[in-house]
Amino acid sequence: MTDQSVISGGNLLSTLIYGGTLVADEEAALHEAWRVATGRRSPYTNYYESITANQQRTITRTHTRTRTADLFVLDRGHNLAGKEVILECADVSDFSSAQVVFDIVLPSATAPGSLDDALGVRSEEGAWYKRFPDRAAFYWRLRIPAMGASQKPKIVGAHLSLSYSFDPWRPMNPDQDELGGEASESDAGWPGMGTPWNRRTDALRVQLSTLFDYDPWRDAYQHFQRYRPTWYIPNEDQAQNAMCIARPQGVAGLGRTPQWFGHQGDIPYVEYEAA
Amino acid sequence: MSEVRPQDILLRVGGRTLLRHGVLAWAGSNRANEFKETFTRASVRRFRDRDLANGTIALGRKAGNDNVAIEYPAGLSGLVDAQGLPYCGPRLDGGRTQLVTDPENFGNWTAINVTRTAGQADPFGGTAAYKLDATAGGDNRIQQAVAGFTSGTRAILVFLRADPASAQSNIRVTDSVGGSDRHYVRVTWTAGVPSLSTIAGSGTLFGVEPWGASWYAILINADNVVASDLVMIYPATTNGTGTVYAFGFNAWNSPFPSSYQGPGESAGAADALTTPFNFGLKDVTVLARMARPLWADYSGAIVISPGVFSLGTADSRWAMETDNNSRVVKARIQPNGAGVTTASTAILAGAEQTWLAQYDRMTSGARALVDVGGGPTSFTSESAAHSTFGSQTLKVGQHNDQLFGVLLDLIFANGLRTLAEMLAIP
Repeated sequence: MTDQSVISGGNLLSTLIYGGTLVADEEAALHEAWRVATGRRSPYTNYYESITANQQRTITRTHTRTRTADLFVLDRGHNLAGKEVILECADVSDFSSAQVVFDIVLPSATAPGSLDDALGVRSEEGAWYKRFPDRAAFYWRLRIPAMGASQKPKIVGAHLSLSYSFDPWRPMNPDQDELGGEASESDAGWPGMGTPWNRRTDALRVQLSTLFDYDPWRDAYQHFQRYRPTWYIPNEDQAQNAMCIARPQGVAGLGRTPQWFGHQGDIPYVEYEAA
Repeated sequence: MSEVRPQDILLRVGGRTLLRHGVLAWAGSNRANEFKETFTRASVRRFRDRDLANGTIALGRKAGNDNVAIEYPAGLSGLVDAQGLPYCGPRLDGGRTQLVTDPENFGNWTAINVTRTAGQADPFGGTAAYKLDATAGGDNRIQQAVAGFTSGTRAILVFLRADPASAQSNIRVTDSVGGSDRHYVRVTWTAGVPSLSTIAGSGTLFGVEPWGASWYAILINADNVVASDLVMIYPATTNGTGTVYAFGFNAWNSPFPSSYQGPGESAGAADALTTPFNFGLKDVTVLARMARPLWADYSGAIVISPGVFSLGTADSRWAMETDNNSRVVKARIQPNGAGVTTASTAILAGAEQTWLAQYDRMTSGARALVDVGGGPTSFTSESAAHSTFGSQTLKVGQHNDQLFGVLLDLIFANGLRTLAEMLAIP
């Protein structure tokens, strides 16, 4: 399939959602590994960092059951551009029999392309996305080889999930945005504004082909439904337009309409903690 | 009979569930409290991983104690289902004692006219394989006696990789050279791909499985084996020179091979996969999809009766299983300590097996039928009614014995459905 839209599922790195543990082999105080899965996007207050420079680091996820994933995202604010990143999974805790999911030197500039590209895709804001053939395992590990003199990894957000792809039922407008900020007008009607902000907003144009598509859809959608930050790729072949989205307040959901056999609907979103 | 709708599915377990829902077992709507399987195994399990790189990467992996081994069966390698997803599932084997004293350390085997070079890349990503060079004409081989053999038809598994110039290698089970060959098997290499034929003796040639990085699992058995028979690897023809890479020689007191067991894993241990089953008694149809198990290609008695699922207690249960004496699938009912009634039909050919069982009138006069693709059997005669029960544990890939295979899918659906209706579930 091409030109499909993709949303992430629940972040399998989150111990809050799925239990288990997420630990790094070295964690600086107040910059523990669990912070990468909080969903917060601040590069000032929420990030993982190690202590010792120029050493390999591992962040290891131990699940409570075997789980499948096909999507990995590094949020903006990381310092791994141009550095090697390895995602491994295993069914032995010491990774002595590991499956290498990918072993990639991350692009250092915006890299347009498909979500499935060998080197993944780097978005304009600096997040990095990579979809890979499904892997199921009990243990997952992000391994970052020594980065060079005086350098240690910094990761604001990391996301691992089983994504869901669907055919949008009508055109999307992923660049549509909303302008906001403290604004006023003078007596003469001249506009004034403090620092303006922009955030993208549109709707997921979801159309499911069969009734059996609904449950896998809801596996992924339930996290967006609960206001968990979700990664959205409007077009998998132009994955550089991907963004982190959240659900605005209000009513949303899919239904079955007279025009279509399966479930269908528009689900509004707003970009989450836009830059 | 009618089309199966999503809401008709009570429970789903297996590889398809793993790739569709991200977890191994799934029931109803899993919005908040996830339906969860339980899995135990007191040992490691070796398995074949997904092949992604045109066979250049070794596919052998190891799952630790109590971790499910998700295998991508060689017989379905490269194929995808209707959803575009590969075939995989939990490998559910029973416990078995592997008999070869040195399954990997060929340095401890007796070598005749063969030079052994250790430290070669192996099919599990390590360097425990050996390069075996037959350096002189004459009878050239390595061999080890297997003291633990008991009399009967016994299974063999060994991994071989061709040297680029390899034309032939041999695997032999015998009491002595020049004595009685139990099964002497020729491995003919064609551009690095092996094929098997019998030189002498008798047994079953189960086939060869690609394991990545040019490795192949050679799967055979040998008839008339007795204690302390010798197992042998010939790098080339019996009297020729040549080279082959070898790893992991396993033998079992069973007619069919199972998953590879390395040193220290010889005791083996059974996989025990279970899920809750809280649906009570009702008319139910069960569909099992699985990769063709090795035992399906052996015609004699296999001692065990591989099970697909089992529900209930010893005195009151229903199940799908197979038979130790013949290759049939059985839908089995045993209500409230009453006699067992079964419907059975012969297993058909095919790399993917799809077996269906219907269970009917469970609370009045229980009966069952089975269909594996050749048409449904008749219902069994009515037996006594089951007592209504709840909070049961469903044994997956197990009844009296483990499945010894890879379970791709196991679906429990409300009501009575045909095989075609169940196969329409994506």
